[in-house]
Amino acid sequence: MFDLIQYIFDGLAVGSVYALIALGYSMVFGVLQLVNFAHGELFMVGAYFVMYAISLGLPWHLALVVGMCCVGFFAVAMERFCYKPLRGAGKLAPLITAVGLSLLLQNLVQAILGSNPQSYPATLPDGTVFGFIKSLFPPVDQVTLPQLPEGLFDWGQIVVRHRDLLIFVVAIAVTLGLELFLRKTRPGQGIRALALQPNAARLVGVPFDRTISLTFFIGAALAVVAGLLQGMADNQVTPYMGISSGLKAFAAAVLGGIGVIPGALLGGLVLGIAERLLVGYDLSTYKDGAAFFILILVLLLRPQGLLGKARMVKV
Amino acid sequence: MSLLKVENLTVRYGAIEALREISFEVNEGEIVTFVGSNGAGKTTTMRSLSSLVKMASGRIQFKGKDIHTLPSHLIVRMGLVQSPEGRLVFPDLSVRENLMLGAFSRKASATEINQELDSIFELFPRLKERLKQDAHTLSGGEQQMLAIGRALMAKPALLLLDEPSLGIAPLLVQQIFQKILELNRKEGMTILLAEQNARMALKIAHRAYVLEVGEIVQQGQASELLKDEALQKAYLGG
Repeated sequence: MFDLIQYIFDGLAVGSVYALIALGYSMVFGVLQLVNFAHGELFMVGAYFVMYAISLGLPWHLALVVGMCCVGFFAVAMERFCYKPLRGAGKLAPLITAVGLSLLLQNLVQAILGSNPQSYPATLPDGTVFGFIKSLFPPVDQVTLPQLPEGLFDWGQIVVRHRDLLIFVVAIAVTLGLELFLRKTRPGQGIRALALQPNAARLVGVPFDRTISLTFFIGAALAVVAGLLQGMADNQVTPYMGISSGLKAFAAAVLGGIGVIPGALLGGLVLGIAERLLVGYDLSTYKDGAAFFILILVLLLRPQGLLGKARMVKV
Repeated sequence: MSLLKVENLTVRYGAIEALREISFEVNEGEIVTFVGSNGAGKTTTMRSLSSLVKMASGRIQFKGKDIHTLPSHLIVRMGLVQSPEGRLVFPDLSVRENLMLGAFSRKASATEINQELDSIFELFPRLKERLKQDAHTLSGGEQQMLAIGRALMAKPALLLLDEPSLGIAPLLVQQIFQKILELNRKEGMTILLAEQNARMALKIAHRAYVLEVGEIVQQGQASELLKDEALQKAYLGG
């Protein structure tokens, strides 16, 4: 029994990272009915970006904000130049584009920065634009790397690491903040309106293109937060982290109910815990398959997801 | 002075010409209606006015300015506001939230918004009763009231109503048309109405255009079209 509770606590951290990525999947799907398979790569690119920025001597919070903005604008450009021209071309074309973008980004990073895992502090390669960027920063003797707290809550049978709890709290706070933003601010209400009824949203004056861009920006920024947390937790960043965590986060978004913000959080946490349970009960071979097994089950039994609503359309 | 002036509007869906060079205008204070059967191009006309479909050629002027190059949200901001065919209310939002979103394009104070809400409740008391209910739980007629109310929240200079009678119980249709008439006669609201129920539409309109497979085949005073024999045969059920 204590084992079970222990595994649940252990699963929270990884589940929280899935949740943060899933939020972006879910938002973009909400407004465009597009599964942006390149979203996982934004998480990967974000993790690299923040790691290098910190290694160049930026304080972690500044690195995070700059990373959120840069990757955010990158996502906006991606939508503008890759997805927008395909509007009205059916659903298949943008989907294939998304898969293509995902492979492209993954391989680009691999070609430029190498396929080996990197850890904090990382040095940018010489030459090209990276060498130039490196030359802009004074060499740092001592990089103060961000550390997740190392302490433990020890409740006898159950032990919870502070850092897991911190990551969990961050995920909750971000989800709440996002939900608040969507309900209380004008741009947020625009996103919500667009997700609920696109043409009606345009008819009440929601600026379509700008709102789509904003959605991509926010999704990418949240993925960067996830990238920083994951990079710090594992002290390892690889070109492949996007594809694995990204696909799992997609499964999490569907599990929670794609397009539903709290659903993404719930889906991520459930998935993280499920993976940890498999490991705990000696089934770790199946850990990476759990997400997709759950995905298939959800699509068969409750396609709208845990928190999604299925409703007949009134004509 | 004409508030809306449309010249040679052509819209194509692929190879199909949905509208062929139609021209019409709406003057301030009028109710103008488009009548015609299903597929005549009424909704396409409405949708191109709000820039929901892109036109192939032509010119649309509103308040003397070209608007056919503008995106939808800027057209709304200028005061050309539409209650669309099929109502398109925001299903998971309450009646109140739907109405508030209607004012999305305006920078109005809370007091102004509340006054606006009150005047809409005066027009449609039913909406006040349903204020906290989700829009998808409303009946078709109530949803139609909500869609009109939402459009009114944007303070239109020209209100476009696309098929307000569609899928609504006849008694409610009567009521809604009465309200439309009231809006025009009491508050001077200029209205462009697309309607399959030609008799109802012609009864409240000042002028009318008859659309047939993408072309305007007849136009004139609504009262005269109402008496027109050919039109009676085609659209008014004998």
